[in-house]
Amino acid sequence: MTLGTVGADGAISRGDTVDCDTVLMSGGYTPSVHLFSQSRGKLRWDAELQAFVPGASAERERSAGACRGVDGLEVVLNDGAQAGAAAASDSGFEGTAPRYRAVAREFSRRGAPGALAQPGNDPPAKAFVDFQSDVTTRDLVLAAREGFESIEHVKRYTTTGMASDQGKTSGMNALAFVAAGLDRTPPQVGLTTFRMPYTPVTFGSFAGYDRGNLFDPVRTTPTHEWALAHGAVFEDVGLWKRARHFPRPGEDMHAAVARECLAVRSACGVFDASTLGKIEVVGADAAQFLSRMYVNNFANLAVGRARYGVLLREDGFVYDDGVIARVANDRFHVTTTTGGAARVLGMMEDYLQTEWPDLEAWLTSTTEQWSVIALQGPRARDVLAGLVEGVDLSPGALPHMSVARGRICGVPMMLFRVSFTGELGFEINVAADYGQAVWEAVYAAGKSHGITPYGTESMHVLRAEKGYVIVGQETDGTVTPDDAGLGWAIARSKPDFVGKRSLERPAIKAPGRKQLVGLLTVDPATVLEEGAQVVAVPAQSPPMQLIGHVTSSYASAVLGRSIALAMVADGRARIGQTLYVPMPGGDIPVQVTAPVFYDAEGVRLHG
Amino acid sequence: MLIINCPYCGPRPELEFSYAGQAHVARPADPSATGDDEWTAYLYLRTNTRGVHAERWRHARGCARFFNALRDTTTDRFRRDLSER
Amino acid sequence: MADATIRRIVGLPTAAWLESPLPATRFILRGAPGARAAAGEGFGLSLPETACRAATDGNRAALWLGPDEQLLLAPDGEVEPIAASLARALQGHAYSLVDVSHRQVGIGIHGPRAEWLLESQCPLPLNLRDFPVGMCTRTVFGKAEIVVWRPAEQVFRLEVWRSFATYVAELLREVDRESIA
Repeated sequence: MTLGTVGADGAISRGDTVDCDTVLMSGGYTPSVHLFSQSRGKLRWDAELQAFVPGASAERERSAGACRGVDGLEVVLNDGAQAGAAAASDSGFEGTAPRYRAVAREFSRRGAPGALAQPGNDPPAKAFVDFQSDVTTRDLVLAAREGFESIEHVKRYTTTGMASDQGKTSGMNALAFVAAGLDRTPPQVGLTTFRMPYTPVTFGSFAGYDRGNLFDPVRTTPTHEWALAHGAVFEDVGLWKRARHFPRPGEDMHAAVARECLAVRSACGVFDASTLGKIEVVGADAAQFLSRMYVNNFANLAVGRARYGVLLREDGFVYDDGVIARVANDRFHVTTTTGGAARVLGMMEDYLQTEWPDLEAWLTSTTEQWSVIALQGPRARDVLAGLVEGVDLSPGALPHMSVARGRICGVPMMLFRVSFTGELGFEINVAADYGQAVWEAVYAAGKSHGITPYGTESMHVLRAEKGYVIVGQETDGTVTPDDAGLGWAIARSKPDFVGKRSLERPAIKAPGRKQLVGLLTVDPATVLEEGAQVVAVPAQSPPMQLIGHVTSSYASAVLGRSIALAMVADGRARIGQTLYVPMPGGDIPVQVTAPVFYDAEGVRLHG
Repeated sequence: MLIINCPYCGPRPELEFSYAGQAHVARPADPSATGDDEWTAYLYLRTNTRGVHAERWRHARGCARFFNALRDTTTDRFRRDLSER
Repeated sequence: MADATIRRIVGLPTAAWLESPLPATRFILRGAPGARAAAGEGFGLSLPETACRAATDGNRAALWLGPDEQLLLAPDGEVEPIAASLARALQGHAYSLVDVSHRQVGIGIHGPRAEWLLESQCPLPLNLRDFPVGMCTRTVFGKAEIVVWRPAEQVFRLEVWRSFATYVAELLREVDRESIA
């Protein structure tokens, strides 16, 4: 390696040549102001030091020693001691600074910041500024010439200061060259923002205990062990593990779902619905409160009856839905979607605390208090008959959408007559510690009736066959009740409810909005892809005129063909038309239908 | 970690709180009598203040109450709390 | 009794300093401030008026969770009598009483390292000065929401929603295991 010295004019004069194995390069001296800057303190340019030093503090901190630009061991030690004493005193404590004496070899920290390549130097010097990213002074000068005037732009254009030292060796030198290149002073150009961390930190430190099975809480339902033991394949729904299907040996998901769905519609199926949110709304004004929140009227819901509630945001878009039952005059059992439980509770609490604090109504989450076992199918009542006490299960006494209290397996039960499958259906609610045993009892009682456990996949197919929407699947935060075919749920006589005013907005009333429809592929074996787009005109070249999208799509064993739900512009007016779903393999022709494929009159519900 | 003063529980770490937007955005008393512009403003228009901002917080993983606070958006420093309902 | 045989309580990992789960009778009582005195009579224990404080007689406890929210704890199996007693005492008052006995799992942590273990994943200072005996609050532990109560110097009682209980107990054990090593 050949050494040289840099003159005041920047010219290099050559010196000795030495043998070496390694070269250690310094970027020069400058106070370490990173931590100060990260505390949002303002830096000050010290023209004498030709460096940035801490200026005005934003936090209760102070910088001492070399990081604020003072030099020499004794000076630095005493500076630190003084700062400590001052901090103690300012905090109300006694503090005197010890006095230090030091004998050390002092050396200058001043110096010209590097060398510019000079025409006279032979060969032209390749002056590295950032030693990791191999950025040279030439690169910096070029950046300035190409119009990158902001130091943040120069940084990204050249990658100066972006390596693991985050500019500790290159920062000030780069600044000096950029300033010269732009014919400005360093304080006029400024420094890039100091990013945390101060020194490189391992990913392991950030991860901490959030790893492996402790990365997230794994939430399981009271019947989880039973499902595991019976071969369930699980899916993640938020933090929950839910049984997706129960394959028998040799079955893939398709086969399992087909079998499960057929079993539900011909005999009965049993399904864990414990994850859905539950909120107990109690108080003299509970009905009034729910009527203000949901689109429905709850004042006229009799005790022992239930109603499907739709919850909007103030902007009129569907936010959540669920069955709401009146268990007493002043007590409602509200259910929400699994994913919506926390936010619906939060939204309700917001209105009660800050909008209508005079209403006498209080909310308590009971999601985890109850284990919910859904029993669905024409044999459901037969299965239950031998198990429940104190509840008349006959259709007259417990009609569709009603609730009754009784006992099952000797423990208290809330029994809902409710159906998300379109079949005769019940939901057994027992306190969670009894959930597993009651499930086992129901399953044992159902054996002779052909009972089949089914999972979330079958649940999705069965409800789609009936055209029941799933919030977050058919809706995406931009769908109004009318768009989703839920306009019937709105109580028109109510003067106000959350979101009602927004339903009068011109854009909401305008024609051309996407509406819920059914799609039947002309080829019944073809199953559309969820999310696929819909067009009216086939064989278009991009950019195509898109008029809708597929929200749900399944093979329906009961119907022996595929079904799909979709949101399509002016969908209801297009019923009977043929539309197309363009895919890489070609356009798939589909018939637009009403969004219900099975038992449209709902006869089976009222069994 | 930001320390936020809950009017009920005292100073608590920010992890226990959720932010709840600009304060004093009153829901119109009679929405059906509210014009489109006023309703749009209620839904979407916020001051986006640079400086002292009147805003709502909820001590969601604490006492679960909503409260108002003044926070300087440039320094993240809270001023006196307004513990109103 | 039928319910004793069919009851399956959440199983959690064990350790010398960890006692769980603790089945109990649990209610959430919410209501107008005027109901508090009457509720105390019905419960047989005056309810705490001060924020983040618990009242206990060694058998039952009432934990202040919010200005209108109290968690009532009693020995397991007393749901019916307590509900009846409170209903009588609170006649004419505005309130909400909800049985949450199965919603939550009780986890006890005791011993000289209890404070340290909890502080590892809880952002609150849990030393005796900042979290004295008798203090209680809802807070977070790792990624779970918990209620923590300190009935004695070296004893903490956590109340955790049942589906988060395994995570909380496993996380405590992991912190303990790593710190001993």
